[in-house]
Amino acid sequence: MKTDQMPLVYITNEVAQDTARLLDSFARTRPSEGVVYWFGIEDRSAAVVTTLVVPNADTTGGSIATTPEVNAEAMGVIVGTSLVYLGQAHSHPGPHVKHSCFDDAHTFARFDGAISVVVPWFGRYGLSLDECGIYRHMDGRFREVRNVASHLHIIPGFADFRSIDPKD
Amino acid sequence: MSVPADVSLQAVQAELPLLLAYADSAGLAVDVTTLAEDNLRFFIRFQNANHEPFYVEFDCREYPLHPPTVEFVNENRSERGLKQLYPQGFHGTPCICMRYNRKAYSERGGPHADWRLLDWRLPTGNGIAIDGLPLMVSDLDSKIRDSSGRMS
Repeated sequence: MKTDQMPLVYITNEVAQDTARLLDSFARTRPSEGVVYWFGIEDRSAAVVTTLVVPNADTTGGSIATTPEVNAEAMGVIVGTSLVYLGQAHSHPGPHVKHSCFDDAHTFARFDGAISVVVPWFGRYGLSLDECGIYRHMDGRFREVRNVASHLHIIPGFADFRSIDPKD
Repeated sequence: MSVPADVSLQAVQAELPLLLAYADSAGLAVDVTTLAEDNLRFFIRFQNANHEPFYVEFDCREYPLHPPTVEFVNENRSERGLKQLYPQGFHGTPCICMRYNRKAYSERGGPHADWRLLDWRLPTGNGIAIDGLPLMVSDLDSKIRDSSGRMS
């Protein structure tokens, strides 16, 4: 699949921040990276992340390891639905968001078009595209995306223009 | 309004099991031996990227109504809040510039006039709420672990 044929991936800000919260949840009892799989709806030009799945990853060493069984369990969520596997987000402990060689080799989503987002600081400070590493599987391997806007957009999930708080 | 010391001590003790579990997995040394109603302090030794030790005091008076005062100290705890006790990468005040540190608030001499002490559990921006001692330790650990060298 050529770059210009890859669908632009959309994710709402709410789902993006839920992703970050789930990543942070891996680091609450030990300093551990985390991973969240992104599933959604896709057509030729656009894909929308609708569903987050946290695999039962082994993080005892501080990094992520998944088995075929664990990934099969995660993939089971989309059986019988129109959802497809779009990619993943995983966290790094500090500000560095480069895909490591381990990431390149062991990311579950290794098919052309798959998106991989590296979120800094365990996801604790949220998911902001300008602080993340954005990678896409192209021509058989993950490549860092320079033109992020051509690959991943965060869009609003809701808007409320009322001037009075409805709870008042 | 002030928080009775026994209430603060109870709140800290309730969070200690999770804090100690995190510290154990992260290789941090926690000293709670002097923690008591009349001394609501405990200490943690962190390490930076070069395995250089840094010592942090958590002064939990008024906790959990207010956040603790979190400060870098020297090993024997005779000095505190000096730049040479801070790792690189922290606010130059010097200060751990987070909502969970009383020192960060302008009413305590810190840089943040836009925060209220009572709101210390609120998240900042899109981040999660760092609303308890184990998360404070985790947050500090990741920052110190990523740094190298001292502020001065």
